[in-house]
Amino acid sequence: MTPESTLEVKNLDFYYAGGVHALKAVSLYARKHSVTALIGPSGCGKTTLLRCFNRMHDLYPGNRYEGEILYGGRNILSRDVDLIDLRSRVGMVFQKPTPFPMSIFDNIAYGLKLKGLRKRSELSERVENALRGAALWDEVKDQLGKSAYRLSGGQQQRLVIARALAVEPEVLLFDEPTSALDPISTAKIEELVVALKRTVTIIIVTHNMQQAARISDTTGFFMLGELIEIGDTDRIFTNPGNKLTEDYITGRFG
Amino acid sequence: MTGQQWRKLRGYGGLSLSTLAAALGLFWLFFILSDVVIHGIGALTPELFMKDPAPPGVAGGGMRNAFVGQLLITFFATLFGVPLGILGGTFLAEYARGKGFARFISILADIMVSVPSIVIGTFVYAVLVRPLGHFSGWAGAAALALIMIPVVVRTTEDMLTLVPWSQREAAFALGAPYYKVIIQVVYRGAATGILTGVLLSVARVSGETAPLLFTSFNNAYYSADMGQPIASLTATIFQYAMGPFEEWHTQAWAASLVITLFILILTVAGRAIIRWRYSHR
Repeated sequence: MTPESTLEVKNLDFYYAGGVHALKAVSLYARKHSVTALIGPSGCGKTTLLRCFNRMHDLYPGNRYEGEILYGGRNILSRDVDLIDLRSRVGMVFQKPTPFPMSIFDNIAYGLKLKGLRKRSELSERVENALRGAALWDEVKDQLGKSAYRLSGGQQQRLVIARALAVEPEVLLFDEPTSALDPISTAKIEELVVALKRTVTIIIVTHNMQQAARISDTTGFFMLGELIEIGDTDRIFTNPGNKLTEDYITGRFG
Repeated sequence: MTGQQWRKLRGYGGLSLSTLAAALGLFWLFFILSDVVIHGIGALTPELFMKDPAPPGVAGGGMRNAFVGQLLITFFATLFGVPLGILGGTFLAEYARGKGFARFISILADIMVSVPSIVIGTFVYAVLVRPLGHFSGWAGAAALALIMIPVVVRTTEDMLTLVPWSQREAAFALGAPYYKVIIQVVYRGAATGILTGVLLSVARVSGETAPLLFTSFNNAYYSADMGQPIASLTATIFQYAMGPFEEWHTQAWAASLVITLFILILTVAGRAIIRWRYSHR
């Protein structure tokens, strides 16, 4: 493990319950306080990998990991890992906004309350900080008691990011966070992702190659469950080392 | 005739037929309701609620015993039936989702919903009334609870299934254990639907007569002892309607009106509560 890496994937294989071999001998690491983008055609395993980092696959019986993901010196794939603790340190933002059926305030406070925070003044402070961190505070500060469903799709996605930020995670996973959003909301989320890397390590799955080029520091290209190539984003998009990568980013397939 | 004219004609035809069908349904509904009001409103006096029945043939008297009995039986049936139904529906929708036996139980519950209530009544008669040797309010509450459970199970299951799975994943991703995901996120999302199911089930059992005749029976005197036979509105209506006295007939109409109003108020109040509680949606 290099000193600057946060998450290190070592020789990871993943099998879905039906027997599908979705990840094949994947090894990579994500640098601390950087944005790592995972790109590749549909079904290439990039989302599968993302969902390994917070063990989402454990929700469904029969899924199987082989290999290691080292995080803070521990293999987070081992059986004795406390998933609740892991998930409060590795947050996730999904493709479609997932506000809970409660007020804006309660949405943000949800993770904090799970951690046992009860003091109203402290909750208010953390909620405000999270909303400011997600660039949503000015838009919602007068309607914290209103339902989160009243917000627009782009606002909801930033609300969800704020909710994930509130518990102060070390890593944030983004699963195509802008694919359901309009260009203006997308630009806001992209700005936000770049700004957030000062405090968290970010891994983002995206179908949008321009997006990967715009916001990521490192890009990994996947195909059919294999990591074809990973490297500095600038290099991957200007001088890819692999013919497959070049074909994909120049739009010759995929 | 051009294609457009033909389409319009068919459109008007469909609209007229469906309007007619709706009017026909509403006509009978209002006919029945107004009949109940016309016949019942005269006997709807404070005495009806304050006094117990007078001896047969003697003027005066009320149905206090039946109101109290009905409320007790319905209250305890709801107390047992609703939590069990919600827990059962939660098990089917959350913990047994997609498993074969969950679908099997679900189908069984569907069948239970449409089983004639008299069957439930005779069942409770066989397992509770006969072994104990006498009718009781508890047996009545048990029969009504058994009728409620499948209704609540199925609506709860359906409503929980409607909550998008992505919302549960989002809560898991924040580090929530499953029981908290269900209680704090899924129940909130499904609350309106579940409450509607509960109200429907209460409304349904409020009008049941047959199962009560086999279980709580009836009581001409005032009793609030659930361990003994206890009067209920529906059983009393049945008895009075069949009886020879004009006074009984009028009171039966009044009691019918009260049950109808009770269900109406329950539904309206339930909807108001839902609106008030979730107005911030």
